[in-house]
Amino acid sequence: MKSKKWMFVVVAGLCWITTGVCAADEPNKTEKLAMSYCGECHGLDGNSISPQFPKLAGQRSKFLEAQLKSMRDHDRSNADSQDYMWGAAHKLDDDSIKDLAKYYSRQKPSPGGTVEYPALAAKGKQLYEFKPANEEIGSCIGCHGDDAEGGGNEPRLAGQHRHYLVKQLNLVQDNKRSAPDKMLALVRKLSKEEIEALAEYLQSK
Amino acid sequence: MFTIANTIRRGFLKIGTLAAGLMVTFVMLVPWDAQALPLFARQTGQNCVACHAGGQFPELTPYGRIFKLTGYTFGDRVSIPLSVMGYASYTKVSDTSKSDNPAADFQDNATPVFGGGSIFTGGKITDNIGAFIQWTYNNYDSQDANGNWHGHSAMDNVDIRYADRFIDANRDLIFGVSLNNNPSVSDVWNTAAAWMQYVPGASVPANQFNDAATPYPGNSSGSNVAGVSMYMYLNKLVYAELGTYRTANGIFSPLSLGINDASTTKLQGANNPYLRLSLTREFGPNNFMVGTSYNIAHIYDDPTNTSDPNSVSRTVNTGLDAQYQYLLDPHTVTAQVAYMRQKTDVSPNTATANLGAGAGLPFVDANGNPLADPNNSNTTNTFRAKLSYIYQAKYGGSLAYFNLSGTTDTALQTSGYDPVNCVGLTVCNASSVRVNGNLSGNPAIQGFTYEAFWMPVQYARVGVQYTAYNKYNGATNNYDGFGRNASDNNTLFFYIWAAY
Repeated sequence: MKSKKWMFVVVAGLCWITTGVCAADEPNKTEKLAMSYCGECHGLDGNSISPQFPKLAGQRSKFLEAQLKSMRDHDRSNADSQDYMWGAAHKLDDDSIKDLAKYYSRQKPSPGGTVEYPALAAKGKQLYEFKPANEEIGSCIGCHGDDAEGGGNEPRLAGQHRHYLVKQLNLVQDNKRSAPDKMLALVRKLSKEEIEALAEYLQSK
Repeated sequence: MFTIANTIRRGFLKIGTLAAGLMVTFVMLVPWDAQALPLFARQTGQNCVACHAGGQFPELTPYGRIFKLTGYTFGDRVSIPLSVMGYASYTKVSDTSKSDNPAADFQDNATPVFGGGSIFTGGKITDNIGAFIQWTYNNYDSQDANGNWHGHSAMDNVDIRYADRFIDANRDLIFGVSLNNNPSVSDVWNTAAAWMQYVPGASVPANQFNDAATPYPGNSSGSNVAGVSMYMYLNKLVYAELGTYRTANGIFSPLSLGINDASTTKLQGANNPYLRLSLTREFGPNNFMVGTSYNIAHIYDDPTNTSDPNSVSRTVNTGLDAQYQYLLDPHTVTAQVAYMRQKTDVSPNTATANLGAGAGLPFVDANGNPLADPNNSNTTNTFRAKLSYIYQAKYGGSLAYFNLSGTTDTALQTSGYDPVNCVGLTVCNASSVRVNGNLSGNPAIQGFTYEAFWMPVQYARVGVQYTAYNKYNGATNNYDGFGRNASDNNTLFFYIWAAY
């Protein structure tokens, strides 16, 4: 009887917990997908914990739509896309992609990270705001906005994980990830240290 | 003695020849698809690294843990839900000379062997139900009178579960029920008893000292029982599981299918509980778990006779474990520690037989006095720690420390001073055992395993392990009474292990 009593307590506790959870507002289909599947990597609210995966909270919906489609259709083919996102995105139809993109664009981005290397961040800010005289070469601020908040098809960069930003810029530089021609022209001129500087600045925004 | 450099060179040559032969056979017989991957990878469309830390199966990432906890249901049902796994190895034991029959005691030493393999099925069944079912073939299951090996296959790990998830912005609760055949097989951390030992090895005598044979924390009932457990994982912070186990017979017979009756664990009744609690935390690329487990098993002494309630022993396993992972490419770092205390109270029948049994043993102690009666209760403490690193999900290594300590028991003595058959008060062949003999009656084993491996593709692994012993069967030197030292059991083990 003693063993049955404590089992009852445990089961009752589980019922209490599940009842409490079930009593909360039921998420809709997109929210459920985002939280219970995408959220495993990108965080419950789109603010991923691990820098292995990008933050999506507050990201531009048009940009997200384009990226999800390119991963679903296997156009974006760098290693991480293949390893994680080809499988994750393959079942998504265009409407689901649109809904997910809108969902994440409405999530509140977490505050920027702390600056670990102030001199590097200052250099990154200079690079970000630099506008080349040659119009064939893009400028970061010209497309990604004064506060790196993105706009139109250009993604939000503010507050993104440092590690992720460095990785993506390296992929663009190595032709393993596509980018607009003006951006390619700019990124190809960056040294590894300059890429680190940009990332240090942007992650703190 | 052997020189490590020459042995490594010869070992890789031999294992390379075996591997080449296996690969050619494999490619010719199996349709080759560059994207063909094991079952769960095909179901999810994701590569191994998504679920396995640094690509190192069976170790799970946080995503892999959620995949398992939600019932293996991510992705789409696969039309042919099957995968296969196979392994081959080459072993070199440090000293094979301190033996009366090296050919038998170290059979298949310095010989490439194909150890066997498994077939897996399961994956997604419905949106809430999934399974992991493993059927394993052992190429070296038994030997006949002529010394020929015979293979045998049987059910291995089984985990069939129903799971659901209640999630909103403020709460995340995964809840499930698992039908399984091994306490802790339902667990999702690789410090759990069922999942801490990774690399399989052929069950040939030459492998009796390789890493798979070293002490790992484990539950006494083993992997051929039947149990149901309920679990929950709340806010990725608290994990709790509660279940109970019984003999896998009747309607539960499939869970021990293929295992002969004499080798099957027979539990008394269904009151053999299992409890698991753990706390977890993720921060940045780091994740951390600390946990505890508890299992009681009432086991019949003779699996072929479950009629006598006085032939039931009681074993309590209490475990503590912790795991840390750093996952940020190109680096994967994992640290694991696990401790298990096992206390066994022998059955009433055994306790009765133990009375006066000391005097009936063929041995006396070093002073010529009769040995003590065997214990009616024994405790062992198994501790294991492992640190591993993988670079680019391709090149890796690990360092493991193992330590088993426990009560001294004359029932463990298989070597001793024999005044009847031996000249003087010595140990001799008439009644004592070489190589695996135990002169002290103490179970202590201690040592390290060093490992390096390469994963040329995500579903294949080539590696080498070196296991070095400081202590074996209770002693550093002369543990068997015939001059065999713990370090004589040091073993170099090359392996190839692949899944499809």
